[in-house]
Amino acid sequence: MSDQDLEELLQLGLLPPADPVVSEITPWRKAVNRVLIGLALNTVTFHFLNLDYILPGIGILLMLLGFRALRRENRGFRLCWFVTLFRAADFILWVVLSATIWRTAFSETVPALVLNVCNLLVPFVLALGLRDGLRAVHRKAGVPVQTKGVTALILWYLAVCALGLVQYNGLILSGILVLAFVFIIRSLYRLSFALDEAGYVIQPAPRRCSDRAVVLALLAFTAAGMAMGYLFFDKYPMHWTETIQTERQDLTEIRENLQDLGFPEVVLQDLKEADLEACAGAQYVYTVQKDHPVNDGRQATTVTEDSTVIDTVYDTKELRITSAAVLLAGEPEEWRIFHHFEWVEDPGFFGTDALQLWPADYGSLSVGWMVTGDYTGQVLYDADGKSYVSPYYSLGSVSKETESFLGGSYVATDVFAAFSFPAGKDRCRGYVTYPAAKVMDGCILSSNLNFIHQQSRWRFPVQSALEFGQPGVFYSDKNYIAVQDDILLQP
Amino acid sequence: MPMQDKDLLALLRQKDPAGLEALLLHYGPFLRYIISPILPDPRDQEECLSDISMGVWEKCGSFQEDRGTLKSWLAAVARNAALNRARTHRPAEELSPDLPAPGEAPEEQVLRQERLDALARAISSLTPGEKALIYRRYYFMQPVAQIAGELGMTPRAVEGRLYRLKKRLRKALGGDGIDGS
Repeated sequence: MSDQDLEELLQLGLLPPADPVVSEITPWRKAVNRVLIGLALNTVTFHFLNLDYILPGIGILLMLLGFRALRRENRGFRLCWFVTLFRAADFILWVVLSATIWRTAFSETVPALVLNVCNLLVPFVLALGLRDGLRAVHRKAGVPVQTKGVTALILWYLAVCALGLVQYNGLILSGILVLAFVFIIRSLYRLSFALDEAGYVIQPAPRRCSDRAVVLALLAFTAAGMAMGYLFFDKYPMHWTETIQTERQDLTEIRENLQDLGFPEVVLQDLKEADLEACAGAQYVYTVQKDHPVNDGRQATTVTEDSTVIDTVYDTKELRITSAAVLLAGEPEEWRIFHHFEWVEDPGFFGTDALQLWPADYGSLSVGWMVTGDYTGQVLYDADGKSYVSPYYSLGSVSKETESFLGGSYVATDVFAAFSFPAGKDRCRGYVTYPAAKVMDGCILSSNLNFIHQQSRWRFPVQSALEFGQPGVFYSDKNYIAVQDDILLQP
Repeated sequence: MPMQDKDLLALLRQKDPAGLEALLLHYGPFLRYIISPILPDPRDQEECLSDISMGVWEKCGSFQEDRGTLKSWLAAVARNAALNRARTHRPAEELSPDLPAPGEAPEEQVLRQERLDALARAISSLTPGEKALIYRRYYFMQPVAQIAGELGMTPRAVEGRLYRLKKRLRKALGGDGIDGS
């Protein structure tokens, strides 16, 4: 049978179409359904399993395809098409940024603020465009205009914005809004059925490339952006320079004095000149050193006659933390605290790390001590027989809004140092130091260091160790491990 | 609220002119959508719409609700009316696929019926989307560009899909070796 014979047979021999076939043949049902499902997915957000990215992403894609088909029909749909294009570009930008450590930094810039304001307007413009577009279709088809559902959607957005402005956190109005949204979407969906006949006047825009190609291209572009983010924007830019040894007599004397008092040699070599100078005339040194595991360890079971004991055993302890308290010369009594760390084993991944400091005057129980100077320090590594040094990417107080265990939130402040090490280097290490003076007798001098290490780059959205750390709180999860070390003495 | 099909039919069966008005208001865009690929000229479309209205007015009594929706019936009526009007521009007999061509020998009639049965079986084995594509192109005579626009595909992709579907249908109908006569 030739192609022509088959075509003739099909043209003459096809039976009248059954109902499902007729309902499939429509120029706009697919486009409008995509728009409505997209709207629904874009409006409700679930903050688990990354659904806050996945559902809006699918929603934007569906709206993009829907309005792509409708864009040439009338001005309203064309406006929706441009707004959806903007929304898609904005969404991809934030998804790609979320695969880097720079999302938070960018979110605090003016362009991000402008984008956020535009995004606030997007739902309104979209709903207005949709309403105008539907009205134009009705008029073209000569059927009565019905756009109550879209008007209700605009009012719903207004109500959500109003509650957002007054920072409403209650459940009652939120529940009512969720219910109202379900009814609005149901009403819009029914409207799309009621409009079925009017929709036959629509002529979808011709495509140079298929919807599938558009989807694949957008997914590929986003995936490529994310891959670039994960691979090349996963560390802080550090200013590494080769260390230069100076032979100043006064520093040599200070160094020798500290050595004599028991200051660890390995820490001494890493100190900045200014921090060394601050220890001139030191009278006493107290040090503690401990190796910490930065791995999950292994389970070891010990069976005795009476019991079975399961322990976690750490065969490798990657992180060595050495803390030292140096009693300085003069009155009133003043100490300089040093917290030094060194990776003695490769932890496997170097992305971002952070030091969280709870210094001598931290908390209401440390009233006997007061920090009297700046927090200083630096990070170092060895390569090819040379040492390289860099200042911290950031070192100072960080305030964050922290969730309270009792509900609500409060602003807490801690001292954080943020840094990154390059991969494959030896003896990655660093320290932080500060002076503390006695203001009341009989108080213990206590200084804590929490080392927060990012264990894997594969987290979405990416968080730096600094972002993971919460002031006043110390915790780990599967991507970030926190190690706590302290120095405690009763002067 | 749009009028329900059963109310519309009741008006048409009572020969109430309001039924025709409601038909054109409710199904006018759909009927135009069906006939426009076959009759691109707007004047022909208007005349065809009149033909359809008259046909529906006269034959609505033969419509059986249990065999399908009014919309499906209207689709078939509109398509046939458009094809018949298209044929009036060139000398040809009216479309009547259910009847054998005049002058066919009895064995040819049997062969023809067998082919139509085989085609119906082959079409029934297609997925809903595939069926809709075949019907769009060969029953409603929609241009490839229109199908592409409505399905979100490129014309080339539509042609490729139709080509593969026809290949499958040819195979189901007995392969390339069968004589089409």
